[in-house]
Amino acid sequence: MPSKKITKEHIRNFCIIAHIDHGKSTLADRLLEVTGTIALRDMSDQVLDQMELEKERGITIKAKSVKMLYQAKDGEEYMLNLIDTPGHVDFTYEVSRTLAACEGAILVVDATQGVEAQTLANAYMAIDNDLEIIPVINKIDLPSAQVDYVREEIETILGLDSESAPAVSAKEGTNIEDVLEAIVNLVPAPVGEEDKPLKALVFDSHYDPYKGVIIYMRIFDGKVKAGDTIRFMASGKEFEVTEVGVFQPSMMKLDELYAGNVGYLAASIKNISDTQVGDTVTLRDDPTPEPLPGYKPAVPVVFCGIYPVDGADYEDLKEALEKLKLNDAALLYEPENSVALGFGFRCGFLGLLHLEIIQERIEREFDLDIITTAPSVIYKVTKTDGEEMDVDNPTNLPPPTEIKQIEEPYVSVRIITPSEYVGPIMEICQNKRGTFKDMQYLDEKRVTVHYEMPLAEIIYDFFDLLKSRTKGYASFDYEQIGYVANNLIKLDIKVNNEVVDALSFIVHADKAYEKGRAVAEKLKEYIPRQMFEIPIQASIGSKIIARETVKALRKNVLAKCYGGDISRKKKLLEKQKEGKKRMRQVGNVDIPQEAFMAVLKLSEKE
Amino acid sequence: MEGLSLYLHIPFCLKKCIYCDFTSFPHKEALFEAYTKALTEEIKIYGKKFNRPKVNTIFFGGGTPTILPVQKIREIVEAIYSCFDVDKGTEMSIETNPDTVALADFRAFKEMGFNRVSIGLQSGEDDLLRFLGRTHTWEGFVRAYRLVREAGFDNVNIDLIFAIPGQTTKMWLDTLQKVTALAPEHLSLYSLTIEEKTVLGKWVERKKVEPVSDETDRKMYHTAICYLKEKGYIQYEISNFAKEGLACRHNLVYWERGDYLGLGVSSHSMLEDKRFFNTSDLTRYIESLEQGLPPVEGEEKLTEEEIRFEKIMLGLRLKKGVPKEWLKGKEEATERLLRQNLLEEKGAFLCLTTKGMDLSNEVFLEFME
Repeated sequence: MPSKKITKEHIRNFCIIAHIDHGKSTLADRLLEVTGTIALRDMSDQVLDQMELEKERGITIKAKSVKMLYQAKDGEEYMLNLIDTPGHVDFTYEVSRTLAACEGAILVVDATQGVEAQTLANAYMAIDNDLEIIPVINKIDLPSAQVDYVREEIETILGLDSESAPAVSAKEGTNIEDVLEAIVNLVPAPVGEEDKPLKALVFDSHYDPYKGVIIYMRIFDGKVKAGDTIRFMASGKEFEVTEVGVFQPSMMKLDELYAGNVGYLAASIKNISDTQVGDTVTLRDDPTPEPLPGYKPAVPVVFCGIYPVDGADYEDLKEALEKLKLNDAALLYEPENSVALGFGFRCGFLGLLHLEIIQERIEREFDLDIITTAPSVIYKVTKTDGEEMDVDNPTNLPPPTEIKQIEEPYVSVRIITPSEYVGPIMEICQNKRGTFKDMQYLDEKRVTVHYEMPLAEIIYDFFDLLKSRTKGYASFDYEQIGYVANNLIKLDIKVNNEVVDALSFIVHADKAYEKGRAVAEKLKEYIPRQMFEIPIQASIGSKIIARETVKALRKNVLAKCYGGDISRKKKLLEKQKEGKKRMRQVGNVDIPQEAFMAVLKLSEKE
Repeated sequence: MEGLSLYLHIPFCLKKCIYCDFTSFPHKEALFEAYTKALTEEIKIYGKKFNRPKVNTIFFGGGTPTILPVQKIREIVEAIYSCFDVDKGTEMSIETNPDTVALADFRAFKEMGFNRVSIGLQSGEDDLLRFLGRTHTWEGFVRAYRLVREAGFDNVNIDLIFAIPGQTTKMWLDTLQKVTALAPEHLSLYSLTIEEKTVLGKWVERKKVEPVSDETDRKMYHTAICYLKEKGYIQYEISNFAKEGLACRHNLVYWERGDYLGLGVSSHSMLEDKRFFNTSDLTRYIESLEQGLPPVEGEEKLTEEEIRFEKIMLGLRLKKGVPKEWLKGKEEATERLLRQNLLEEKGAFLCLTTKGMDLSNEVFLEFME
């Protein structure tokens, strides 16, 4: 589509940041609609959330971008590049990537909820990136909306000028133009020069089966077109560009991209590992002397084993992880094997939500049945001989006699809550071995509670507990702050006198009994009766701390055959057979995968 | 075809029992006429299709077949005689329920050619009968039993259920004692199966009723096996016991995979390794036959492997077991089952032990591909 080239003074690069459920994706939809980027009839809810899972869970997982053209009230046409950001704390890393590619950020705040923990975290991150922040108050159509109150909160808590903040209803499409005008008037135009050598920031990528790796980039200086030979400055790899373009929001081929643009580039790149998010793209023949400051690589903090239910699916699982990795640089995996579960992978994630999402995508998009083991963090172990090691799988913990100390990662947790829930929240945090740091009143009704606690404690059920004990009113955010030595021990679970390696946990000594009892009880509930009696034991070293017994199966018979309906009998047997297939043999005991899941989801309150 | 067995389903009853998930409807007297007509039409279709085949056994099941007026049963029986080749010695059974016996005319049934009656008693305890939703008492049953005997039937089966919530082993033994004192020729003992969709299933799901533990269930079963053996009954199948030579031939056809034709709503048939079944929808069944069409809803042609498995699964239900050669290629599983005391050898045969009967599904699963 040949069109008049838009000068960089008329380009605005921005992102939208918000606490989960404050309406980020709906606002993005409205912007696309009002600018005519997507015709009303082609709108499906939340266009940018293309992944089925994103729509269902109402969260954005991957950063995406889209170009819009907007005829502003000053009579000029502007190119607005929206870069979508994930809204969950697990994906803070992806947010930071997006921010580096923008000059401005729309901070959406729910008029009924006010400022939440991630609003705060995102706003600080935007401030750190020197972005112009435009607060937008959303959901004004709701009866419980308190626009003035929220305006005040934005001023007092975030220190942002909110007097002229647009008050909108993304759902109803009210005042959307105000947002567009604010972007045009407040977000600075990109600086950078077209005549300088190419300098572009890779902020995301995805794999396209026909075009190879598609690089999402923001061009700071220079220009690039098909036929150019580019170089990735960090990896040193060079490729010939086959196509450049923008997202509208589907890929739209253009002749060239120039300074200030946000778009994509394809260069028949086969391996996503050749490209690195955060890397700088330049031209081989006219390189820029200085790369852009890159990103800190995403560091997985939560680990678990993922195993195929059916061992024959190992290769398929490997392929699934490879494909997911293509679009998710933060996902780590390497082969491991377990006595109980056979061959599988040790995987690293940004957080528990990230883990759950990967798990669901494997099951849904690749139609594989998998078992995930209990999530673990990385422990720093110092052995008595002075050797130091990182342990992300309890199975790899050396015997207690060889351990001098174990350190575990700590996080600083900030919870924003209505003040009446401070009691329950402190109780949860204390139970989770948290150390109270401070508490601040944001206003007369809302409080920030600040704790330091072991990361291992929040990756299980902290979020669920927080939600249920505060009726969903509390929000939280966390960041890693380092390692602390604690009295940690390995808890083993034995089924029929054999250690089920996939069910070993590293826990604080004070909690071992409670945990051991709970796991044994849960397993008893889930392990079906078999031909013999099955003892289930929790142990620390050789010391048994809890025991349950699954009694031997006494009866599995179909008493009646009615009117020769043999098919019904066979169907029942087939169902039983299917059930057995879904179980894991440990020693000679069949353990259903649900048992592993149930233990994983085990809440301490149960 | 070496002759076949006929099953006729009468889907009517006085009242639905809480555990029943068979195709049976109370209060459908208005359909008796139309159903009888449809069923005789179906008989005619198959009689013609297979060119008046020879019939080895006939079984009227339900529901409660005897809820139909005698005249209707007669019409059905006459249709069978005119469309099939029924021999004098053919086993011909009818199921009944104590409440309908007095109303029915068993002398007339005898004259029609019925030579075996199966009475659904279920329990000897009035409290348990009430719980199950049965409409009769133990006394009512005894009167019905006498009427059946007086009508000249010398081959009578009594159906009993055990592991009823609230039932103790002692209560069960009392029932067995009372029943065997009447000296029926045949006994069917069924461990109560709690089906999800039944009233009982829902009570259990809502924890209104506590099912009997598997331990007690098996104790009752083992008690019955011992007790009946003492009383001269031979166990010939997991749930069936009979005096010498009086095993139900119709039942044996199912276990031995003989050919059978199931007529009536929701009935299942197997002819020459092909299984097919009728619709379970009463209205559709009647309408289909009004147009002279067989109301078949589905069929399944068995593969070699399925036939092999069915032979083992059904054959092992019988006390005599299956010939060893049927388990060729399954030596490993067989060895394991022998070791676990689930199977035992009897000459050239392998059969289930009592423990094997308790866990028969586990055994069958070992032989399933």
